[in-house]
Amino acid sequence: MRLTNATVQVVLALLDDTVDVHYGYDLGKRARVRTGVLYPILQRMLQEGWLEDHWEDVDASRGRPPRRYYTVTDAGRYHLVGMSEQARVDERFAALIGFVGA
Amino acid sequence: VNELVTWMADWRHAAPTAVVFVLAPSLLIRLVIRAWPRGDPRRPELLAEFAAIPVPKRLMWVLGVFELAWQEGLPQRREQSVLWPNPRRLPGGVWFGAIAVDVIGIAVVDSRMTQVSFAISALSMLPATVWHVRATYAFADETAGLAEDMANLTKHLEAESLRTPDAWTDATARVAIDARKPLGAPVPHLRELAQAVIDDANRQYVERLTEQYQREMQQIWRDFDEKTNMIEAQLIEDLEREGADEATIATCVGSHRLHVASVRPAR
Repeated sequence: MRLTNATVQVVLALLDDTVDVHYGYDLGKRARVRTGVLYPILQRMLQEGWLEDHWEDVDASRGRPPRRYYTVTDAGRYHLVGMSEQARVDERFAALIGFVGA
Repeated sequence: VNELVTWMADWRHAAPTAVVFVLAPSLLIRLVIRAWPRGDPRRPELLAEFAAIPVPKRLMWVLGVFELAWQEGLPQRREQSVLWPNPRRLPGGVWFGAIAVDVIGIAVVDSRMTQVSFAISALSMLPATVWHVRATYAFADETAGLAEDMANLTKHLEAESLRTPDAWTDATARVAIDARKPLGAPVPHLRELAQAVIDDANRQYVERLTEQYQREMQQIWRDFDEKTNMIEAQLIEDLEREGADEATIATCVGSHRLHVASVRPAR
């Protein structure tokens, strides 16, 4: 997967250890990427096997439609960490590092 | 922004505010998720996300989903839809995007995926169309109306033909149609498709019978040749034992061969 600003922002948000499971809106807010950019990235990561998705329990959703949650797989963590390390040493992304996940 | 907030805070503007920030996003999201094919997980996912978004932010978020629908939903929908690049007009028919409805209620749909045309019931098409875009850009699922149509076709075939091969299933009917419907050919109606399949099946039946006949005839010829050769060998052996000379043996063998030729089955 190519390193772009949006990808790096999503990668860093996914690696945020304070969040166990991720869902689209929250992830987009933390990564500060548009909806039209976020979901295609998530879709590619799902296809690569870096993420797994599952649906929220109906009981837990409290009346609203159940959310689709994303969790990082072991293989995904390996690749995402690799990408974040690459981004940290790449000057193009210097401005991005530090704010995502804060 | 301040003026907008002040305007919205005025109770007299409650109705337009509710329409713009509550009703419109709710309607729009339900509309835009239809860009994804039926059953796609993105549909419920986006609905669930929408419910979690604070009301003032919903309108902008929904506008962002339009971008996603354009990039992700519509391409998927196009891949799975039955549309065709060269619309053809039926006599007396009216076209709604990709669907033509003629005066006797038959819709004609060409499949982008299978490069094949189908004449199917317009009524069976309706549940598969997306109502809000049908007038300009009609979508239909890949199997829209087709299952029912194939069942009708099979029934028609069974009723028409006394020699229904066991292998006639929806799948073979579909293959038969695919084989004889290159893109751009005239669109046949169900009866013509059924007749074509029946003709094809009858032709195959005759071919099978011919092959079987030829196999049996070859066996008969082989048996006949084998027996006549044995008789000829026995005849020569008997003549030699009785002390016949070569000329006599040749005459007898020649006579035997003439007789064999006269009774031999024709090839």
